[in-house]
Amino acid sequence: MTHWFDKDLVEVAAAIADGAVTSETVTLEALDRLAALGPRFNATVLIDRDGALTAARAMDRARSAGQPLGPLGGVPLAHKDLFYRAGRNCQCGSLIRRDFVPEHTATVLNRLDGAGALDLGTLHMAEFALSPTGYNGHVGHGRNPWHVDHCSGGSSSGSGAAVAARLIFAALGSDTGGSIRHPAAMCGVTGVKPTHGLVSLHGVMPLAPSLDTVGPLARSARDAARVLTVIAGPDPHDGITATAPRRDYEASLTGEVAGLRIAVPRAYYHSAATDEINRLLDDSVAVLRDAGATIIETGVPDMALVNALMQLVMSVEAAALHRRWLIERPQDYADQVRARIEPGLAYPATRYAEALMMRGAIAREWVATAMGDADCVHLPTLPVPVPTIAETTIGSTADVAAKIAQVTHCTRGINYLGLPSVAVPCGFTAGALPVSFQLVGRLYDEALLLRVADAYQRRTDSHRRLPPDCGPLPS
Amino acid sequence: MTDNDLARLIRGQNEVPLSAEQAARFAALVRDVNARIAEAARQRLTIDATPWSHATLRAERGAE
Repeated sequence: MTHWFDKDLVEVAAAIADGAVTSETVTLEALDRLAALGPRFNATVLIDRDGALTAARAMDRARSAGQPLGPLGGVPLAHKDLFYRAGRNCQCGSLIRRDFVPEHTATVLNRLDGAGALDLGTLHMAEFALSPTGYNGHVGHGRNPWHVDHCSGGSSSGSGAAVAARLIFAALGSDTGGSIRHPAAMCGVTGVKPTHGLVSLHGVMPLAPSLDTVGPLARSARDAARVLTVIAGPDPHDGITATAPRRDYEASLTGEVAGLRIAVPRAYYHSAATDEINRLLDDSVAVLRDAGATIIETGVPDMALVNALMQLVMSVEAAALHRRWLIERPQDYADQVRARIEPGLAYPATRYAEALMMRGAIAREWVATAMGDADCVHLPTLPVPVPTIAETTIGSTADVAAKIAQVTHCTRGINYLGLPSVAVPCGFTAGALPVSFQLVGRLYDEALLLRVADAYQRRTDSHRRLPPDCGPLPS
Repeated sequence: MTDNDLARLIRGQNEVPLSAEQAARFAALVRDVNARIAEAARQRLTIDATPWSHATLRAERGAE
């Protein structure tokens, strides 16, 4: 008996298009896995079984009638619960929006629909996208498929867990300070945080619009490239995408990195990583070197400043968006979430304007120092082993804050810089939890980052490993 | 500015009901971030600096 759950998205799309399997068969398997395994990882919110099967059968009829299915034709996906679909409840991980039903559909969902993808439903997320660990005080913490006592990463927690556990073939997430890359790193999947402005934010719950990005979490760089090709590009509903290019990201995956220069800034990033994680990061650099890339060591500019700029922009924009609810319903936020928004109420407007006005200059400084004349930068995604849920929720406020700061150490600054990043699994700790590096590029250089990530994955197998007890369901 | 002053400022300007104890949780962070960015802006920003420089940078890269 063929189990389709362990195939790649690209393989399954081809099998459905060729008639080797029906969309209904693949979707039924995904729905059964979501029902059986989703609750173990607290990965799901709302799964529409009947709607999904109806859509899958329609896709199979279209194929039988000779109609083209699109690049994601009949492939079951599900997404973080902050992408609006007209008429469908969208809770955004919160108590405040528990009954919210949007009247319009996100551009990214419309584009996935147009490419033939099936939307099975919504996935767990941190409250209002405000936790890097997957913390949610209302519906419980996201749990890691590799070990349920550990964080799934957040805020796109369900997206990371559901893709890692092979419940669906890819999922969208959003990333304001690392919310795609954290769950990708902690769950052992590939995550793309695109250039700010490459992917439309229309119909996506905003956290901090100057920093917010939308991208895929998938089993491989190739799968992520397929999804990114569908969702990226200009959208008249979102002005920040006006200069975004349209590209076929899959076409860039040559498997080759010979001739490329990859920068490794040791200071700040690698110096924060544990010895065990640095060894695995070094191994991943060696794979790329052996494949023909030239590795150069670089430095970094003042990262305390970059992080301060990110903190201010994120908290001010979030405070502006949440102010009405902070006045009327402060008790309906978890403490950890309010604590991340409230500083934004205290900054003077001049600081916020300065932070935005300096953004281009600071991004240039970072690229010049960390990348130099290289093509991309290789950094840890998470410099410490995946924390336990207890480590990030129990203890003094200072202890918890310090642990959370470790999680975002390598990710949050990249959002202020607006640069693209791809998180790539690169092995496991002695505790059998995933480790990840991220590749950071110049603005709109996603194609190059995915090419390097794909070349790495063609030579390694971390991304193909299945979490324990996530094999075939008992028949 | 004391924690009480900060809480009063937030209540006055933003109408968010915060106590001095709640403001104390982030007062040190706000002071540090504020000072760091003010100093960076003093060194970098001039009246002729492109105000929306990041959007310009994106447009330049997107056009390549």
